[in-house]
Amino acid sequence: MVSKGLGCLMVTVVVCNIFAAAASLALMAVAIWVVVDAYKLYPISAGSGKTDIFAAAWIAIFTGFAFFVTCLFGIFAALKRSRGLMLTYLIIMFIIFIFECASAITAVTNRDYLVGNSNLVKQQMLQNYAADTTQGKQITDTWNKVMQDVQCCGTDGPKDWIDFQSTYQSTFGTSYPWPPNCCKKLSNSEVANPTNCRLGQNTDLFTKGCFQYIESMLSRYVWVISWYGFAVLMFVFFMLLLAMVYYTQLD
Amino acid sequence: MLAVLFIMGTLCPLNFAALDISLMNPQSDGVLTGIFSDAFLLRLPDCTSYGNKMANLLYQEFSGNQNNTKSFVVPTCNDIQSKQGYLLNNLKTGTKYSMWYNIKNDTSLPLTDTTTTVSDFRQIKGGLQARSGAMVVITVILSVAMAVLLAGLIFLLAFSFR
Repeated sequence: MVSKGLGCLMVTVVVCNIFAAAASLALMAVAIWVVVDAYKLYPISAGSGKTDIFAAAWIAIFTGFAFFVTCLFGIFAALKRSRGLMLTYLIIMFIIFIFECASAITAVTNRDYLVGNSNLVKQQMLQNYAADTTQGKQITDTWNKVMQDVQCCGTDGPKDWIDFQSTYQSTFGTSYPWPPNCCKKLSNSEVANPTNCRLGQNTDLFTKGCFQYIESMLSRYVWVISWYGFAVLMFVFFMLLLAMVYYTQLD
Repeated sequence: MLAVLFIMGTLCPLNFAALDISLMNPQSDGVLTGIFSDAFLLRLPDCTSYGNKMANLLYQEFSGNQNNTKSFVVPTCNDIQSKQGYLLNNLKTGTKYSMWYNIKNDTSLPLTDTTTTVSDFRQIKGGLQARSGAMVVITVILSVAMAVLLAGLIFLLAFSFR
Protein backbone atom coordinates (compact mmCIF):
# COMPACT_ATOMS: atom_id res chain seq x y z
CA MET A 1 0.00 0.00 0.00
CA VAL A 2 2.79 2.32 1.02
CA SER A 3 4.75 1.19 -2.02
CA LYS A 4 1.74 1.86 -4.27
CA GLY A 5 1.38 5.35 -2.81
CA LEU A 6 5.07 5.99 -3.28
CA GLY A 7 4.82 4.70 -6.83
CA CYS A 8 2.00 7.17 -7.58
CA LEU A 9 4.01 9.97 -6.05
CA MET A 10 7.01 9.01 -8.14
CA VAL A 11 4.95 9.00 -11.34
CA THR A 12 3.49 12.40 -10.43
CA VAL A 13 6.94 13.85 -9.79
CA VAL A 14 8.22 12.41 -13.09
CA VAL A 15 5.25 13.73 -15.10
CA CYS A 16 5.53 17.16 -13.48
CA ASN A 17 9.20 17.26 -14.32
CA ILE A 18 8.42 16.43 -17.95
CA PHE A 19 5.96 19.35 -18.12
CA ALA A 20 8.40 21.65 -16.33
CA ALA A 21 11.16 20.67 -18.75
CA ALA A 22 8.95 21.51 -21.72
CA ALA A 23 7.76 24.78 -20.16
CA SER A 24 11.25 25.90 -19.28
CA LEU A 25 12.48 25.12 -22.79
CA ALA A 26 9.68 27.36 -24.06
CA LEU A 27 10.80 30.03 -21.58
CA MET A 28 14.27 29.83 -23.04
CA ALA A 29 12.86 30.17 -26.56
CA VAL A 30 10.77 33.26 -25.80
CA ALA A 31 13.68 34.81 -23.88
CA ILE A 32 15.81 34.36 -27.00
CA TRP A 33 13.05 36.15 -28.98
CA VAL A 34 13.22 39.08 -26.53
CA VAL A 35 17.02 39.27 -26.71
CA VAL A 36 16.90 39.28 -30.53
CA ASP A 37 14.74 42.45 -30.21
CA ALA A 38 12.47 42.05 -33.20
CA TYR A 39 11.04 45.56 -32.69
CA LYS A 40 14.52 47.15 -32.59
CA LEU A 41 13.81 49.17 -29.46
CA TYR A 42 16.99 48.39 -27.54
CA PRO A 43 18.57 51.85 -28.14
CA ILE A 44 15.57 53.53 -26.50
CA SER A 45 16.06 51.33 -23.45
CA ALA A 46 19.83 51.88 -23.53
CA GLY A 47 19.36 55.66 -23.81
CA SER A 48 17.95 55.71 -20.32
CA GLY A 49 20.90 53.69 -19.07
CA LYS A 50 18.59 50.86 -18.00
CA THR A 51 18.57 47.79 -20.15
CA ASP A 52 17.31 45.52 -17.39
CA ILE A 53 14.49 44.15 -19.52
CA PHE A 54 17.09 42.63 -21.82
CA ALA A 55 19.32 41.62 -18.90
CA ALA A 56 16.33 39.76 -17.43
CA ALA A 57 15.82 38.06 -20.80
CA TRP A 58 19.44 36.90 -20.81
CA ILE A 59 18.99 35.46 -17.31
CA ALA A 60 15.79 33.74 -18.45
CA ILE A 61 17.65 32.07 -21.33
CA PHE A 62 20.11 30.49 -18.90
CA THR A 63 17.59 29.67 -16.20
CA GLY A 64 15.22 28.21 -18.78
CA PHE A 65 17.92 25.90 -20.06
CA ALA A 66 19.10 25.10 -16.54
CA PHE A 67 15.53 24.25 -15.48
CA PHE A 68 15.26 21.96 -18.52
CA VAL A 69 18.46 20.06 -17.76
CA THR A 70 17.74 19.84 -14.02
CA CYS A 71 14.19 18.59 -14.65
CA LEU A 72 15.65 15.77 -16.76
CA PHE A 73 18.01 15.05 -13.90
CA GLY A 74 15.01 15.15 -11.56
CA ILE A 75 13.23 12.50 -13.66
CA PHE A 76 16.31 10.32 -13.34
CA ALA A 77 16.58 10.96 -9.60
CA ALA A 78 12.89 10.15 -9.04
CA LEU A 79 13.06 6.93 -11.05
CA LYS A 80 16.23 5.90 -9.18
CA ARG A 81 14.41 6.54 -5.86
CA SER A 82 17.69 7.94 -4.54
CA ARG A 83 17.64 10.31 -1.58
CA GLY A 84 21.03 11.79 -2.39
CA LEU A 85 20.08 12.52 -6.00
CA MET A 86 16.69 13.96 -4.99
CA LEU A 87 18.35 16.29 -2.47
CA THR A 88 20.85 17.44 -5.10
CA TYR A 89 17.98 18.01 -7.52
CA LEU A 90 16.06 20.05 -4.96
CA ILE A 91 19.03 22.25 -4.05
CA ILE A 92 19.91 22.95 -7.71
CA MET A 93 16.28 23.69 -8.57
CA PHE A 94 16.04 26.10 -5.65
CA ILE A 95 19.13 28.02 -6.82
CA ILE A 96 17.77 28.26 -10.37
CA PHE A 97 14.38 29.27 -8.92
CA ILE A 98 16.00 32.25 -7.17
CA PHE A 99 17.66 33.42 -10.38
CA GLU A 100 14.47 33.10 -12.37
CA CYS A 101 12.61 35.07 -9.67
CA ALA A 102 15.22 37.79 -10.05
CA SER A 103 14.66 37.82 -13.81
CA ALA A 104 10.87 38.14 -13.53
CA ILE A 105 10.99 40.85 -10.89
CA THR A 106 13.71 42.80 -12.71
CA ALA A 107 11.82 42.79 -15.98
CA VAL A 108 8.57 44.10 -14.54
CA THR A 109 10.26 46.73 -12.37
CA ASN A 110 12.28 48.06 -15.28
CA ARG A 111 9.14 48.21 -17.39
CA ASP A 112 7.50 50.46 -14.81
CA TYR A 113 10.59 52.65 -14.70
CA LEU A 114 10.99 52.92 -18.46
CA VAL A 115 7.43 53.16 -19.77
CA GLY A 116 5.28 53.69 -16.68
CA ASN A 117 4.73 57.16 -18.15
CA SER A 118 6.13 58.96 -21.16
CA ASN A 119 8.50 61.31 -19.30
CA LEU A 120 11.68 59.27 -19.51
CA VAL A 121 11.26 58.30 -23.14
CA LYS A 122 10.45 61.93 -24.02
CA GLN A 123 13.49 63.24 -22.17
CA GLN A 124 15.75 60.72 -23.90
CA MET A 125 14.29 61.58 -27.28
CA LEU A 126 14.78 65.33 -26.82
CA GLN A 127 18.29 64.84 -25.49
CA ASN A 128 19.61 62.24 -27.90
CA TYR A 129 17.74 62.67 -31.20
CA ALA A 130 20.19 64.25 -33.68
CA ALA A 131 22.99 64.17 -31.08
CA ASP A 132 26.39 63.65 -32.62
CA THR A 133 27.37 60.69 -30.43
CA THR A 134 27.25 56.94 -31.08
CA GLN A 135 24.27 56.60 -28.76
CA GLY A 136 22.67 59.64 -30.38
CA LYS A 137 22.98 58.12 -33.86
CA GLN A 138 21.46 54.83 -32.69
CA ILE A 139 18.57 56.58 -31.02
CA THR A 140 18.04 58.81 -34.05
CA ASP A 141 17.90 55.79 -36.36
CA THR A 142 15.50 53.99 -34.01
CA TRP A 143 13.16 56.98 -33.77
CA ASN A 144 13.27 57.58 -37.52
CA LYS A 145 12.27 53.98 -38.16
CA VAL A 146 9.49 54.05 -35.55
CA MET A 147 8.10 57.39 -36.77
CA GLN A 148 7.88 56.23 -40.36
CA ASP A 149 6.70 52.66 -39.71
CA VAL A 150 4.09 53.56 -37.13
CA GLN A 151 3.28 56.97 -38.69
CA CYS A 152 3.76 58.91 -35.48
CA CYS A 153 5.79 61.90 -34.31
CA GLY A 154 7.47 62.61 -31.01
CA THR A 155 6.62 60.85 -27.77
CA ASP A 156 3.19 62.28 -26.96
CA GLY A 157 2.87 64.11 -30.28
CA PRO A 158 4.61 66.66 -32.53
CA LYS A 159 4.12 69.34 -29.85
CA ASP A 160 6.99 67.74 -27.89
CA TRP A 161 9.33 69.26 -30.45
CA ILE A 162 8.01 72.79 -29.98
CA ASP A 163 7.18 72.79 -26.27
CA PHE A 164 10.69 71.75 -25.22
CA GLN A 165 14.25 72.59 -26.14
CA SER A 166 15.95 69.72 -27.88
CA THR A 167 19.26 68.71 -29.38
CA TYR A 168 17.46 68.58 -32.74
CA GLN A 169 16.42 72.23 -32.34
CA SER A 170 19.93 73.28 -31.28
CA THR A 171 21.41 71.49 -34.29
CA PHE A 172 18.94 72.43 -37.03
CA GLY A 173 17.28 75.59 -35.70
CA THR A 174 13.57 76.29 -35.67
CA SER A 175 13.02 76.76 -39.41
CA TYR A 176 11.68 73.21 -39.47
CA PRO A 177 10.23 72.53 -36.02
CA TRP A 178 10.04 68.72 -36.22
CA PRO A 179 12.15 66.08 -37.92
CA PRO A 180 11.32 65.24 -41.57
CA ASN A 181 10.43 61.71 -40.48
CA CYS A 182 7.33 63.18 -38.86
CA CYS A 183 6.06 63.96 -42.36
CA LYS A 184 4.36 61.69 -44.84
CA LYS A 185 6.83 60.54 -47.41
CA LEU A 186 6.65 59.34 -50.97
CA SER A 187 7.90 55.92 -52.00
CA ASN A 188 11.28 57.46 -52.86
CA SER A 189 11.68 58.65 -49.23
CA GLU A 190 11.19 62.33 -50.08
CA VAL A 191 8.76 64.35 -47.99
CA ALA A 192 5.45 64.45 -49.86
CA ASN A 193 4.58 68.08 -49.06
CA PRO A 194 7.27 69.92 -47.06
CA THR A 195 5.26 73.18 -46.95
CA ASN A 196 2.14 71.60 -45.50
CA CYS A 197 4.19 69.53 -43.07
CA ARG A 198 6.06 72.64 -41.92
CA LEU A 199 2.73 74.40 -41.28
CA GLY A 200 1.55 71.38 -39.31
CA GLN A 201 -1.28 70.33 -41.62
CA ASN A 202 -2.64 67.02 -40.37
CA THR A 203 -2.86 65.80 -43.98
CA ASP A 204 0.94 65.71 -44.13
CA LEU A 205 2.15 65.61 -40.52
CA PHE A 206 1.81 62.55 -38.29
CA THR A 207 -0.09 63.84 -35.29
CA LYS A 208 -0.16 60.86 -32.94
CA GLY A 209 2.65 60.20 -30.49
CA CYS A 210 4.91 57.17 -30.66
CA PHE A 211 4.85 56.41 -26.96
CA GLN A 212 1.87 54.09 -27.13
CA TYR A 213 3.64 51.89 -29.68
CA ILE A 214 6.95 51.89 -27.78
CA GLU A 215 5.19 51.14 -24.51
CA SER A 216 3.16 48.28 -25.95
CA MET A 217 6.14 46.65 -27.69
CA LEU A 218 8.37 46.87 -24.60
CA SER A 219 5.48 45.58 -22.52
CA ARG A 220 5.23 42.55 -24.81
CA TYR A 221 8.84 41.74 -24.01
CA VAL A 222 8.20 42.20 -20.31
CA TRP A 223 4.99 40.17 -20.18
CA VAL A 224 6.83 37.30 -21.86
CA ILE A 225 9.71 37.34 -19.37
CA SER A 226 7.86 38.26 -16.21
CA TRP A 227 4.37 36.73 -16.54
CA TYR A 228 5.38 33.58 -18.39
CA GLY A 229 8.40 33.27 -16.10
CA PHE A 230 6.04 33.72 -13.15
CA ALA A 231 3.75 30.98 -14.47
CA VAL A 232 6.68 28.59 -14.88
CA LEU A 233 7.90 29.46 -11.39
CA MET A 234 4.51 28.79 -9.82
CA PHE A 235 4.36 25.40 -11.50
CA VAL A 236 7.92 24.62 -10.41
CA PHE A 237 7.10 25.79 -6.86
CA PHE A 238 4.30 23.25 -6.44
CA MET A 239 6.37 20.59 -8.19
CA LEU A 240 9.25 21.18 -5.74
CA LEU A 241 6.88 20.91 -2.77
CA LEU A 242 5.73 17.60 -4.19
CA ALA A 243 9.33 16.51 -4.72
CA MET A 244 10.11 17.40 -1.09
CA VAL A 245 7.25 15.22 0.07
CA TYR A 246 8.54 12.41 -2.19
CA TYR A 247 12.02 12.86 -0.70
CA THR A 248 10.70 12.43 2.83
CA GLN A 249 9.00 9.16 1.79
CA LEU A 250 12.19 7.65 0.36
CA ASP A 251 14.35 5.28 2.45
CA MET B 1 -37.84 96.87 -50.83
CA LEU B 2 -35.78 93.90 -51.69
CA ALA B 3 -34.99 95.37 -55.12
CA VAL B 4 -33.87 98.64 -53.50
CA LEU B 5 -31.55 96.80 -51.13
CA PHE B 6 -30.18 94.75 -54.01
CA ILE B 7 -29.42 97.86 -56.08
CA MET B 8 -27.77 99.55 -53.10
CA GLY B 9 -25.66 96.45 -52.55
CA THR B 10 -24.32 96.43 -56.08
CA LEU B 11 -23.41 100.09 -55.80
CA CYS B 12 -21.24 99.48 -52.74
CA PRO B 13 -17.53 99.49 -53.68
CA LEU B 14 -15.52 96.36 -52.97
CA ASN B 15 -13.01 98.04 -50.64
CA PHE B 16 -15.67 98.10 -47.91
CA ALA B 17 -15.18 94.27 -47.66
CA ALA B 18 -13.79 93.29 -44.21
CA LEU B 19 -10.11 92.28 -44.07
CA ASP B 20 -9.73 89.69 -41.34
CA ILE B 21 -6.68 88.51 -39.49
CA SER B 22 -6.78 85.43 -37.28
CA LEU B 23 -4.63 82.52 -36.23
CA MET B 24 -5.16 79.11 -37.77
CA ASN B 25 -6.58 76.68 -35.27
CA PRO B 26 -6.52 72.87 -34.99
CA GLN B 27 -10.29 72.38 -34.93
CA SER B 28 -11.27 74.26 -38.07
CA ASP B 29 -8.08 74.31 -40.14
CA GLY B 30 -6.58 70.89 -39.44
CA VAL B 31 -3.25 72.23 -38.27
CA LEU B 32 -1.33 71.22 -35.20
CA THR B 33 -1.28 74.71 -33.68
CA GLY B 34 -1.33 78.38 -34.69
CA ILE B 35 1.13 79.50 -32.05
CA PHE B 36 4.77 78.42 -31.92
CA SER B 37 7.59 79.58 -29.70
CA ASP B 38 8.99 81.81 -32.44
CA ALA B 39 6.17 82.05 -34.96
CA PHE B 40 2.45 82.55 -35.58
CA LEU B 41 0.48 80.71 -38.25
CA LEU B 42 -2.04 83.16 -39.69
CA ARG B 43 -4.97 82.55 -42.00
CA LEU B 44 -4.42 84.09 -45.41
CA PRO B 45 -6.65 87.01 -46.49
CA ASP B 46 -9.78 85.98 -48.37
CA CYS B 47 -8.73 84.82 -51.84
CA THR B 48 -12.00 85.89 -53.52
CA SER B 49 -11.50 89.55 -52.50
CA TYR B 50 -7.72 89.79 -52.33
CA GLY B 51 -6.39 87.01 -54.57
CA ASN B 52 -3.23 87.97 -56.49
CA LYS B 53 -2.82 91.24 -54.56
CA MET B 54 0.23 92.29 -52.56
CA ALA B 55 -0.50 92.03 -48.85
CA ASN B 56 1.53 93.61 -46.05
CA LEU B 57 1.63 91.97 -42.67
CA LEU B 58 2.59 94.55 -40.06
CA TYR B 59 3.61 93.42 -36.62
CA GLN B 60 5.26 94.82 -33.55
CA GLU B 61 5.97 93.78 -30.01
CA PHE B 62 3.05 94.79 -27.83
CA SER B 63 5.28 96.67 -25.44
CA GLY B 64 7.49 98.08 -28.16
CA ASN B 65 6.98 100.61 -30.92
CA GLN B 66 9.11 99.28 -33.73
CA ASN B 67 6.92 98.38 -36.69
CA ASN B 68 7.95 95.47 -38.89
CA THR B 69 6.50 94.50 -42.23
CA LYS B 70 6.45 91.35 -44.27
CA SER B 71 4.97 91.36 -47.73
CA PHE B 72 3.57 88.52 -49.78
CA VAL B 73 1.20 87.96 -52.68
CA VAL B 74 -2.13 86.50 -51.64
CA PRO B 75 -2.65 83.29 -53.65
CA THR B 76 -5.67 83.10 -55.91
CA CYS B 77 -8.41 80.68 -55.04
CA ASN B 78 -7.14 78.32 -57.75
CA ASP B 79 -3.63 78.27 -56.28
CA ILE B 80 -4.59 77.57 -52.69
CA GLN B 81 -4.11 73.90 -51.84
CA SER B 82 -6.02 72.77 -48.76
CA LYS B 83 -5.80 75.44 -46.06
CA GLN B 84 -2.44 77.11 -46.34
CA GLY B 85 -1.51 79.80 -43.93
CA TYR B 86 1.12 82.46 -43.60
CA LEU B 87 3.93 81.70 -41.20
CA LEU B 88 5.20 84.77 -39.38
CA ASN B 89 8.48 83.52 -37.91
CA ASN B 90 11.73 84.76 -36.36
CA LEU B 91 9.84 86.11 -33.36
CA LYS B 92 10.92 86.15 -29.75
CA THR B 93 9.85 83.39 -27.38
CA GLY B 94 7.17 84.20 -24.82
CA THR B 95 6.53 87.68 -26.22
CA LYS B 96 3.26 89.46 -26.91
CA TYR B 97 2.82 90.73 -30.46
CA SER B 98 0.25 92.77 -32.33
CA MET B 99 -0.31 91.96 -36.00
CA TRP B 100 -2.54 93.28 -38.74
CA TYR B 101 -2.93 92.98 -42.48
CA ASN B 102 -2.83 95.90 -44.86
CA ILE B 103 -3.86 95.48 -48.50
CA LYS B 104 -4.07 98.72 -50.52
CA ASN B 105 -6.56 100.84 -48.56
CA ASP B 106 -7.87 98.05 -46.35
CA THR B 107 -6.49 97.45 -42.88
CA SER B 108 -7.62 94.72 -40.55
CA LEU B 109 -8.17 95.07 -36.87
CA PRO B 110 -5.03 94.17 -34.88
CA LEU B 111 -4.62 90.64 -33.60
CA THR B 112 -2.76 90.29 -30.31
CA ASP B 113 -1.24 87.06 -29.09
CA THR B 114 1.79 85.71 -27.26
CA THR B 115 4.34 83.21 -28.52
CA THR B 116 4.74 80.11 -26.36
CA THR B 117 7.62 79.53 -23.99
CA VAL B 118 9.96 76.60 -24.37
CA SER B 119 10.83 74.35 -21.41
CA ASP B 120 14.16 72.70 -20.76
CA PHE B 121 13.94 68.95 -21.32
CA ARG B 122 16.19 68.45 -18.28
CA GLN B 123 13.27 69.56 -16.15
CA ILE B 124 11.16 66.60 -17.24
CA LYS B 125 10.92 64.27 -14.27
CA GLY B 126 11.67 60.76 -15.45
CA GLY B 127 12.05 57.73 -13.27
CA LEU B 128 9.75 55.50 -11.30
CA GLN B 129 6.58 57.45 -10.63
CA ALA B 130 4.51 54.58 -9.31
CA ARG B 131 4.71 50.85 -9.00
CA SER B 132 2.27 48.92 -11.10
CA GLY B 133 0.05 46.19 -9.69
CA ALA B 134 1.88 43.59 -11.75
CA MET B 135 5.19 44.44 -10.11
CA VAL B 136 3.74 44.29 -6.62
CA VAL B 137 1.97 40.97 -7.24
CA ILE B 138 4.93 39.28 -8.86
CA THR B 139 7.38 40.51 -6.23
CA VAL B 140 5.24 39.56 -3.26
CA ILE B 141 4.20 36.14 -4.51
CA LEU B 142 7.67 35.15 -5.65
CA SER B 143 9.24 36.35 -2.41
CA VAL B 144 6.79 34.25 -0.41
CA ALA B 145 7.43 31.26 -2.68
CA MET B 146 11.19 31.58 -2.24
CA ALA B 147 10.80 31.81 1.52
CA VAL B 148 8.57 28.72 1.63
CA LEU B 149 10.99 26.73 -0.52
CA LEU B 150 13.93 27.80 1.62
CA ALA B 151 12.09 26.76 4.76
CA GLY B 152 11.19 23.44 3.15
CA LEU B 153 14.79 22.83 2.10
CA ILE B 154 16.13 23.62 5.57
CA PHE B 155 13.57 21.24 7.04
CA LEU B 156 14.61 18.54 4.58
CA LEU B 157 18.30 18.99 5.40
CA ALA B 158 17.55 18.78 9.11
CA PHE B 159 15.35 15.76 8.41
CA SER B 160 18.07 13.96 6.44
CA PHE B 161 20.82 14.57 9.01
CA ARG B 162 18.66 13.47 11.98
